[in-house]
Amino acid sequence: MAPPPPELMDDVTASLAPDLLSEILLRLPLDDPEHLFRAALVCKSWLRTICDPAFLRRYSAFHGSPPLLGLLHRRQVLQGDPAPRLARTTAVPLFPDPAFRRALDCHHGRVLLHASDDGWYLIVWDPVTGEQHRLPESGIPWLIYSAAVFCAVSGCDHLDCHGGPFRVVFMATDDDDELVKASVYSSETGAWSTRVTLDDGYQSWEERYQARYQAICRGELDTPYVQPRRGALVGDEIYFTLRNGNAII
Amino acid sequence: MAAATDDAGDSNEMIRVVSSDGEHFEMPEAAANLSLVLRHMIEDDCADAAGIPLAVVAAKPLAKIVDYCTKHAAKSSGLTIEEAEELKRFDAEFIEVDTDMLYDLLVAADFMGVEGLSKLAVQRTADLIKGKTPEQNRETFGIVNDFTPEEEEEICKENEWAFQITKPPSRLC
Repeated sequence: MAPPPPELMDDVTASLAPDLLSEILLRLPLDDPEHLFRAALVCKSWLRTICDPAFLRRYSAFHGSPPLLGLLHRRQVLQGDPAPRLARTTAVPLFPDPAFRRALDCHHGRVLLHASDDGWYLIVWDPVTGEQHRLPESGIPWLIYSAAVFCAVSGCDHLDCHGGPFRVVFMATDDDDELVKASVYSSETGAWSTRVTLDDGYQSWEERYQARYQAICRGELDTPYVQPRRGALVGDEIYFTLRNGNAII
Repeated sequence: MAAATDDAGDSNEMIRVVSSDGEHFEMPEAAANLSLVLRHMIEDDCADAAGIPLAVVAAKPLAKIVDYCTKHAAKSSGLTIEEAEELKRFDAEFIEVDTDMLYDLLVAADFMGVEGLSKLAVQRTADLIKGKTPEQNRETFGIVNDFTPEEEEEICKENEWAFQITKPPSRLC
């Protein structure tokens, strides 16, 4: 009587120590996230191993940089908005709010989008979980602006801060008084901070108006423009560029 | 017994090990030292003429492990680029084994604490898993599908994108 083929008799991985199984699954490539999803459907013990938050943290740490899921492209907005573009680079589906018009920033697994239907609003979108957090505008009547989103937890390694608290910084040249203003939104309080205004050295509104008027007469532009570019996040500080004198704030 | 380990610094000394099915193997002490378990046994003067018994490692995988350790111990330090390349080729050929042997090597390398081999076997297993459908993986590793059809359908539905084997081209939306 021929014995059944051994490879059908033994479950090669079922009797492996759980940490050995996770060592194996840890090495599935991160660039194509479908590998991990497909492995999760092999059997319950693989599913349990992969869904374990400790495993997912190790998986992120093991592979270092997170995978590139897609590219959000935003061209200059001065001549009007081109169609917003999102090019996927993996099979992972990405569905941002269809009302989004401008991609503003991304940090720590979150994307900041500017959207409009009846009016403008901001969206913080997590492409991995699909979660979208809609927030009102900061209240600064913007002429031109830049904004940033980042994780609000100090000391976070950002390997697993999905759904955690975040901050949005909005910085704009005010369309009314042409001053540079900024405000910070906290997801914990659900509110924008009191606006801060950049001191431009003029003592009064009249003084500023006179200076602007004279500059225009000379054919110059005296308005400080917040450049509509992404800011640079360095440690706990974010830097935006202004066009007038190329100052950095 | 103690006499055998008096000159423990002598790298020419051969260490004997015994598989679970009673076969004897010999390897240089430097090779045995690549195994954490064997190294501790040698340090504790447990390596004698009768051989160190390895209760959970059968002869077939043990022969492979002795080969692996002997090769790697001989080329352990001050490798030239060519030697490193050669060792890489050795590893690649060494791990071209069927799933039964791969399983035995995974368990044995883990048990004996042979770090390099453990990593090699783990990586080889991961390479076998990737790019396969769940069903192909079950076949390869002889795994029984313990999901109910309903559970399976639900997971598939939630993650439909992950089960389209061909990668969709980048798409604009």
